[in-house]
Amino acid sequence: MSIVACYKIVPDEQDIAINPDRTLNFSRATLKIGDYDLNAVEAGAQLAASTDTQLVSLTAGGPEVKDSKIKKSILSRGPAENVAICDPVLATAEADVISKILAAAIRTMDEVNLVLCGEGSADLYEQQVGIQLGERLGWPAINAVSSLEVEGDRARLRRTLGNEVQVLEVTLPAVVSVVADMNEPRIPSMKDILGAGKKPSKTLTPDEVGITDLDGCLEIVSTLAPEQKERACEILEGDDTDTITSFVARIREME
Amino acid sequence: MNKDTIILIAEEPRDFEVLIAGAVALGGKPVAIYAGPDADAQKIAAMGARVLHFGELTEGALFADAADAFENAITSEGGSVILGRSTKAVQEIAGKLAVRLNAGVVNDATSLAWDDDALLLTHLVYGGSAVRIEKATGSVIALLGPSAFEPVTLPAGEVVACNDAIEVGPFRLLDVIEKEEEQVDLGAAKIVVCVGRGIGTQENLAAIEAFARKLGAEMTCTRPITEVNEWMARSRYLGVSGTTIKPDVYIGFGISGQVQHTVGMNGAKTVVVVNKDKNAPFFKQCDLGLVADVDKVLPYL
Repeated sequence: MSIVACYKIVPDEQDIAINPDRTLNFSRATLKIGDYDLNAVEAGAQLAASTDTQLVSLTAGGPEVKDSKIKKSILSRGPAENVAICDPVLATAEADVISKILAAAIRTMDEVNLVLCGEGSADLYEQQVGIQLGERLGWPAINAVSSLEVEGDRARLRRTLGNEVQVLEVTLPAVVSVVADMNEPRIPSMKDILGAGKKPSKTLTPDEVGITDLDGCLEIVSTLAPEQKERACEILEGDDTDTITSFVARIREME
Repeated sequence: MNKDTIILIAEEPRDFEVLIAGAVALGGKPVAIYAGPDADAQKIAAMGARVLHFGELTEGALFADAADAFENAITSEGGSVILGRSTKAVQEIAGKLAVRLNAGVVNDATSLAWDDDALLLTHLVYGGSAVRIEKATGSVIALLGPSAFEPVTLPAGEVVACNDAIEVGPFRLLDVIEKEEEQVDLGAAKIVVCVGRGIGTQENLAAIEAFARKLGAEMTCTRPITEVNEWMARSRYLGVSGTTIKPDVYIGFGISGQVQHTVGMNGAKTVVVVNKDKNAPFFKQCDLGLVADVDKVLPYL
């Protein structure tokens, strides 16, 4: 039995620069593991330790999946092994294609009984991969999970919706997407990082997991920085009575 | 692509308002697929949609257990554009339907437009740093926030009873715990007052809340105020993973104006900002700004 935690490698959005023509410039952007995926990896690491099972980390993407620093980073967070599916097309693929690839990769693994995903990818945040992955595997799948316990072949979980928390039970295997406040992802120790270098990691092509069609349902037309709305930008400065009262008077006029 | 029939999916009757408006914006007839009480199906019909009503969910069933019934309804209606309200349960059923119908999904779509026979869908990516336009030439599911389209008035539609039973799925519902946290609908607010961590203390928050009451404004906040300070309900935070609103007036206190927040409010007609840091990016994106310490301003509000 094993647990799979899925993750996506994304550019750090803090480092994205905007070109004069509003296109995005990624040249200074460092890579990171998707923020919300870290919660899935942490949940997997904790469950693997408490149920004495093995955690495998799984990603699909472009050449970024071969980044040795990221590989070390993911393996220092608990997984015993890392699997990456790599194709240039996957760098911009969306939930439909990514879920297809992940499902195919999971089918090639032995006795997976639980797959964990984050709430959404840090770049696109479509919040779809976990559910679509479950549907493709023919497994029960659920999102918005804030706590998870596994006993034998059953998982008991809590799911936070708008105004209620559902307490649910499911027979494994299943795919579970966890929310960001489920846990606090660990900060790997130096020992974890050194140990990560010795753990196995393999990179496969889509073809090697049996997928040849990488066409998605949607086509990207453009990705541009938002147009700034024209604003008056009238700035008053100072915390003296006159400035503040004239500012407050202006607000009153807006009512 | 079927441009005439636009399928709508939501959990609550009030959520259909924005979806109906979206269907009208696309020039199609709104067809709501709904599982819930009969009175609520009538409410949705009164808003102007034809309602395919599946009765109430079987005791213990989750919303997504309706996937089989909804899939059949979409197929028999021949709909290729499906609009859903972007809630967790709708995101869940959308994922199941997307795989079965071979449809793309765009979450939190901010605008929709026809380009000949293709549908263009706009949404934010990279934490609000960019706007992406995607093109769908086949079936597509667009999930919308509460303010994506202005409400419209239509003649009432009819309710059509559908008999497919919605059975309990693989998840056994053991218990439902009502959350005590308040749920607010910020979409209707004309004036909002918003606070960020720069307000400093909970006493200041109370003073700003009193000011908001005087203005008849709704209180909103940035993500850290709910998730780090836990001072306000999650339904009140604006931004990339929170709510997006387009009020007449937005008044922000102690907010720097990071893109993750401003994507939630930059549709406001007038933006007013108070911050002590004159280099805060928000001062470049406001109509009226005051560079001052929030503590000094509060006594005058």
